[in-house]
This record gives sequence, C-alpha cells and structure tokens, in this order.
Amino acid sequence: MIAPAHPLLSVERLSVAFGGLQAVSNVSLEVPSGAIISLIGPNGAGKTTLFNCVTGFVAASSGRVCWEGTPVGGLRPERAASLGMARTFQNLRLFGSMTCAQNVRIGTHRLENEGLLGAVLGGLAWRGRRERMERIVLEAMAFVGLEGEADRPATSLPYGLQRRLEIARALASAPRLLLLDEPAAGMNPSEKRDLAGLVRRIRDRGVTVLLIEHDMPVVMDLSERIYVLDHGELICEGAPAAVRSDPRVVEAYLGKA
Amino acid sequence: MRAPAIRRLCLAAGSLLSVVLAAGIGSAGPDGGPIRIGVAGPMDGDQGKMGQDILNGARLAIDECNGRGGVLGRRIEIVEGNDQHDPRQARQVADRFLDAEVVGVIGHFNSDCSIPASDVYAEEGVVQITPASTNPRFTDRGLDTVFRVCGRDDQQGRVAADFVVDVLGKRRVAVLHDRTTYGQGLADAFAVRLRERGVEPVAEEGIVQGEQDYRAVLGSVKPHNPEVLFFGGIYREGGLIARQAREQGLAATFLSGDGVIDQTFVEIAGIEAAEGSCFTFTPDVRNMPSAAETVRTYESRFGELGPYSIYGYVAAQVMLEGIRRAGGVDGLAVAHVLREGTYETVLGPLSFDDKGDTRSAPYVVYVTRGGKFVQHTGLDGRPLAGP
Amino acid sequence: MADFLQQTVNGLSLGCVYALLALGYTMVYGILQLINFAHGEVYMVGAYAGILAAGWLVATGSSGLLLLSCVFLFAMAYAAVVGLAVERIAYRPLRDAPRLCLLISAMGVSFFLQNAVMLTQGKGDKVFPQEAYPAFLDGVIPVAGATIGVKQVLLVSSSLLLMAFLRVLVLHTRTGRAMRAVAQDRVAAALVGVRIDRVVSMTFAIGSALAGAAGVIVSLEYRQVGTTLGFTAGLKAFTAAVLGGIGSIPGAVLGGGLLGLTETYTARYGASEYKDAVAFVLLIAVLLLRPTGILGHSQAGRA
Repeated sequence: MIAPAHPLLSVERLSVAFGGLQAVSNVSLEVPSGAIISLIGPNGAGKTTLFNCVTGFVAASSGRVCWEGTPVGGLRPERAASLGMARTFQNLRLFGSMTCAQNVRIGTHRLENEGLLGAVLGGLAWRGRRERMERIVLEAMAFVGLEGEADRPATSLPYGLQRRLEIARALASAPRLLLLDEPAAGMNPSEKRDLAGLVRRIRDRGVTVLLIEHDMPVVMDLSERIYVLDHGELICEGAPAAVRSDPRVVEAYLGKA
Repeated sequence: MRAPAIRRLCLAAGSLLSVVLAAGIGSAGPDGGPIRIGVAGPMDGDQGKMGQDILNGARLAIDECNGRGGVLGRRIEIVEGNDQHDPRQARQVADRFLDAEVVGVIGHFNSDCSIPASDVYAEEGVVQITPASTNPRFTDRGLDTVFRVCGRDDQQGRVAADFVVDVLGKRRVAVLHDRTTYGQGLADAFAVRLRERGVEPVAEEGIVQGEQDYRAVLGSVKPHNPEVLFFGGIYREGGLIARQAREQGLAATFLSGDGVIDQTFVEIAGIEAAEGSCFTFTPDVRNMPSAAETVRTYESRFGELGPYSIYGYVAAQVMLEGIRRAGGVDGLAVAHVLREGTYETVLGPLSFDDKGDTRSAPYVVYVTRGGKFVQHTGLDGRPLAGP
Repeated sequence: MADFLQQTVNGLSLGCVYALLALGYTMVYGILQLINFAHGEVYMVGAYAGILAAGWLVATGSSGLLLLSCVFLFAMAYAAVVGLAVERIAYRPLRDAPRLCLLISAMGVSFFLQNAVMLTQGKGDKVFPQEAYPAFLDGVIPVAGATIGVKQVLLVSSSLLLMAFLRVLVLHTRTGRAMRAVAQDRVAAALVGVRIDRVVSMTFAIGSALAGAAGVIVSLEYRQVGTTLGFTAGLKAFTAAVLGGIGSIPGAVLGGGLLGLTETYTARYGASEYKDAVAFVLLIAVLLLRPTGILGHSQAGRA
C-alpha cells in the first residue's frame, strides 16, 4: 500500500482569537487518512474552538486548514460538509421534533443532488433515489446499534443512544473525516466500552476519526496519536504512552505540584 | 436615531416652503398680482381620480379666463390642495390655503372634508364653492361663505325614492350605506322620502368602507327578498356590492347615487352585474349644447370627461364671475354678489338661494346598459322618450 | 340552512386567502424567527403582476384556463423574485443583528414596495381586465338553496392544491427536509451540509409565490386591488398564523380558515362592524389558553 502524499486533514499554525482572547494559538496538527487521532486537554483549552474552526463555524485569525494538502480558506460549514467532514457536538444537536430516522435522513442531504426545479418537480419522481437514501439511513442506524428505533422521536431516546444517533446522522453523509466532540461524556463504563468499539468500527469502514475526549482510558485505548492542548497552545503530541508520561501533560491536568 | 433627523428635515422643508410662500405673497400685493384660487380634493389614492377631474375642470376655466386677460386685470393662479379624503387633512389644506392668501376655494370633494374645512374658510371670509359635496349640512349651518354648484343628497335621495315608487314600481327596498357623511346622508334622505311615499325599507345596514368582502352583509339582506338594493357610498364599494350581490343570488335592482356612477364601478362589478343598475346623477352634459364646446376642449386636453369635471369648471366660472362682479377680492363681498343675480354657466343659468344651494337641483336617473351609463329619466322624473 | 351553507362557503374562500398568506409568515418565522412584515406587500405586488400579465395576455389573444394558468404562474414567479430580493437586500445583511433591526427593515421594505407600485402603476385602484376574465368563473352552482360560485369552488380548490403541494414539498423532498432542519437547528443543519442561505432563499421564494397566487385569487374574486391591499390582509394573515401557531404549517391553514369563518359568521349573524374585533378577541382568547397558538410547539424544545 502506498502512503498518500498528504494527510487527509492538516492544520498549520492555526490561531483563533475572539476579541482579545486567544482561544487557539499557533496550533499545527495532522490527521492521516484512516487514523484515529485524539485531541485532549483541560476544559477551556481550545479543543472545541479548533473543531469549530476546522468545520467552518468560526473563522481563523491566522494559519490555515488543508484538506489533502490543498488549503481551504474561508471555510463555511456546508463547504466543510461537502468536502467530506461530519461532526458531532459536545452538547447534542439533534432535531428535537423529528423521529430518529428523519434525523439521520437529514444527514444524507449532501448525497442527494436536487436543483431548484428538481425540488419542485423531481422530488416525488425519484422513487429509486428515495429508496437508496432510506437504505443508507437504515444502515447507518443499524451500524450504531439503533435498529428498530426508526420511528421513535429522537428526544425520547436515552442520552447515550442520542449520542449514537448523532453519530449515525454524521455517518449518513458518508464522510471521510468524522470529528467527535466528547462522545463519551455522561456515559457509564460499559457504554464507554461500547462506544470505543463503535469508534474503532467506524475507522475500520474507512472513515478517519478526530476525537475530542476527556476520558483517558478511552483515549489511550483508541488513539494512534494524541495532541494535547492547554490554554490554546499545543503542549505535547505523540503516541499514547509517550503522552501519558509527559510531565507537561501531567502538569496541565493536575496543576503544578 | 433617525427620527430627529427626519424632523429636522421636515422643519427645514417647512421653513423653506414658508419663505417661498412669503416671497410669492410679497410680490402679489393687494392688487396687480395674481389672484389665488385654491382647488381641493383627494388628489391621490382610491378617490384620486375625482380630485384630479375637478382640478382639471377648474384649470380649464381658469386658463380660459387668463387667456381673456384674467379678472379685474389680474391673472388667476391655482393653489392645489390634496385632502386625501381625510377630514383632518382637509383642515390642514384649508390652513395652508389661508397661508397662501387664496381668495376663494373650489372644493372639497367629500362632504366629510368640505364641512370641517368650511369652518376654517368662513372664519377668514374665504368663499368656498364645492363642485361635488352633496351633504345637506354643508349649507345648512348658516355660513355666509359656502356655495355649491351640485345638488344636495336630500334632493338626490328624493329623486331616487320617487324613481323607485313611480318608475320601477317596487316596494321591497333594502338600504345600505358606507357610514360616511355622504353615504349615510344620501341613504337617510332616500329612506325618509320612501317612508313619505308609504314604503318601509325591508332592511337598513351600514358597511365598513375599504374592505373587499361584503357578502356577509348581503347575506343578512337576502332573506328579506329585496327588489331594490339602494347603496349610499362611493364606486369602489358600490362595484363590489353590485357584483357580490349578483354572486350571492340577489336579483334586486342596484340603485345608487352620484358617488358610484363612474366607469370604475362597471370595471369592478363586471358588465353583467352592472347591467341594469340605476343611479341618480345630474343630466348628461354631453347632451347640453351649452357645454358641448367646453367638453370638447376638456377631452382634447385631459382625456375623458369625469363625472365631476364639468362641475369643477362651473365652480371656477362662478367664482371668477363673482369676483368680477364684486369688483374686488374681499370674500364677504364676493359671497354677497354670488347670492344675487344669475350666473351664466356651461350648464345653463345658475342662481343661489340664501343657504348657497342652487335654486334648481338637476337630478335624473341613469341606467347601465352594456357597461355604459344611459340617461333614463328627465328632470321631470319621467322616463325619457325612446332613443 | 342554505344561508348558513352560503356563509360557510364565503368564509372558507376568504379563509383560503388568509391561509395562503399565513403560510408565508409562518414559514419565514419558522426558519428565521422573523416576522416578515413586508409579506403583505409581496402579496399586493403579486396581485398587480397578475393583473398586468392578464392585460398582456389578452392582447396576445389568449383566454380561458390557459390565460388564467399563465397569470397565476407569472404572478407567482414575480412575487417569488420580489420575495427573494427582499430577503437578499433587506434581511440577509441583518441576519445576525438584533431582531428589532430586522423588524424596522421589514417595515421599510413594505413602505418601499407600496410606493414603488404607486409610482409605477398609478395611485388609483387597478381592476382585473374584463376581457381577460373568463366568463365561466361567474357561473353558479345551486346547492341546497345556496348559490356557490364556480369561482369560489375553483379558488378554494386551487388554494387547497397549493397547500397540498407545499405539504409534499416540505415533508418529502430534500429541500423540505433541509427547511425543517434549518428551522430546528441552524447550526446542526449547516453541519450536515445544508446550505443555510439557500434554504432561506427557497423559503422566501415559496412563501412569496403562495402570496402571489393569493394576490391573483383576490383580484379575480374582487376584481379590484389597490396599493394598500397588503396592509390589512397582511395583518389578518399574520393573525391567522399566530392563531394557528406561528411556525406551524398546518396551523397556518387552520388559522386562516378559522379566521375567515369567524369574520364571515360575525358579519352575517352578529354585526359587520365588529367582525375584526371578534377576530382579535378570538386571537386573544386562544393565546390566553394556548400561548403558542392552536397547533404551535413551545420554543423550549429548541436546541
């Protein structure tokens, strides 16, 4: 197998400032295709801001984001999605008044191509397409373990399953990179184990994963490489074992002894 | 903050205007300068056509007069006032006319506007001749300065009621009006005369002006099976009512007054629903040899003659002649000579009674045939002889 | 009984117009939480566009149903373009500004449209050309003593058709799904690749097209329109949307129908001068019992 010339996603000397507050400063990282990469750090370290910047929700003040080596400037969320990024949120963002299947179906949005006229005329005619989309929805739900829940209102699911539903919605858009923001938050140990298994299976179906997570066992277990942020700066990067023993990381998490 | 800026702008525009006006007045002087005549009415909006018709009629008379060298050796100038058929606006127009030192006013169109404005004019001794306001109250309040060259609603309502009894021979009559001074006044005068003639209206209802849907009101009239549907109001509502009555299966003859007799009525009602509807109005000036030339000039200059165009013309004719006979621009003197003697107009000789109404009130009935209004009765109230 | 049936039909046909307009209010509110006060003016513009188109088409010699369909299409397209332009010029630059700015912008737009039409089309009323008006519309169908106009049947059914079409569009097409997604959570929708600006544009286009159709319906129904047409109708339709539950599409239809019937019944069996008062009392009563309107959802569930 020939290694691709460029990582799927690379972030180069990226900074994000909100007014005077430097949320992310000068961070560089690489997410090679097919990997599970983690981003850790204490609360307020700038992890979610970095996610938001990569997915086009906030603008970078300097630095750049490259997709397969090509800089993508002025990224907007829908553009990020069309490149093949999908993400979940730290606090769930499901469409509350829709059923599970409808939520996942929204995820297929970018797969369907429908012009203005198509929306009016073809929307009904393309039975075949509709069936194909519905298959994708069912497959994504089955993949995260939500088979049989299609017609249930999304918000009636237990919390852990809502997280999975959000993952299913992200997967339905057939992403190449999945950004998961604290997917294990609020889960019990056995749910966390299941989640870790799910993330691995996602990677195994060819979707690269960039993960923000607080739960150390999960991170250490899953990640090939870990980036550690503190106060918006990258303080350490490397393989799990190396990161675990790095004094800077210990200090950042536990404070100075 | 925008508002103060706008206010400043208005103030600036206002003061500029008054400077201009003051300059104009300064140059006018007591004699030698132009004599200003105000022409007021709704100049835009849904009744804008009426105001414009009057303005055009007055303009024609005044231009002709200026062509002959004006009055008392002075040119006549028109000051235009748009009252937007709003009584408050009408008073403002009146105040503005006084600021411009007009000698007389031709207007307004709506009785609702003519009446409040007449108080302002009377106070300053400015002669007001309305070409169109037919409400009795306009001249019934004992003011010295008010005149009208058109008829009165009670005369009009009377003619309409007599027409129902004598010509149509119907006895089931429903009366609708638009609650305005004009509309309700006309409907009341009609109903009073009907009762005098021994006919009790089967229903009397008011409608709200400016709406589009009058089917519900017509629904409450329908069970009384009226043979005649009288409406006191303006053409817009008249057209909608005639049309919706037909749609609701009401077969009654639509009868209304001078506020409705306009081509727009036919356009709104549609030719079918308008067919056979009757109106009280003044005799067709086109049939009057005395008016023929004026009508021709008017139409070549302004397009089709409106229902009140000629009254705008006559009002101006009378006003200018009054000034000439008074030998000056003092309003009370002009008002005094207007009550004396007879005035030759394109509608024939005209004289005013003490109230300021014309001594002869010409109303006849028109009927709609194929979308056109055809004079149906003569001044004697009898159907005209065959065409 | 016949009279009641008659009034019901009258009320429903009035209600259909309110409903078509209320849909525009409710859709835009659902997506942007904006009360598009210029919507009534878009409806007025649609009515004028329809009348102008009818005049041109008559000159080309067409008539009947073909002409009517063309008039509808033209008015809807014209209104849609106006709606798109309004959104683009007056709302989009202010999307992240405080709500009040949008509201003021909306009022500015409605004054602008009213005056633009007055300047270009004249101050007086505009009448649907007699020659373009298909005679069969004036036919009546006697039903149990009531006279039901062919026009009313046609207008109610075409309104219902448009509403059904909208329902299919919203529930079963990609655009509709995107609209619902944006209405619920703009951020999450953007995340899955929904182009927010496009969805907002589509919403304005569809809502405005419905208003254009309502404009044609009204000019056929009453023959006559003026530049102030949009003001009261807009207010009524907005009331209908709130009554049914703003943001809810079935609510807009229900609210429109209810308002039309209430007004008509009040004018017929109560007093015509109180019909607006009664309509607003109804609104207040419903809002006291159900602050979100009859079919409205509470906003608390929003993420």
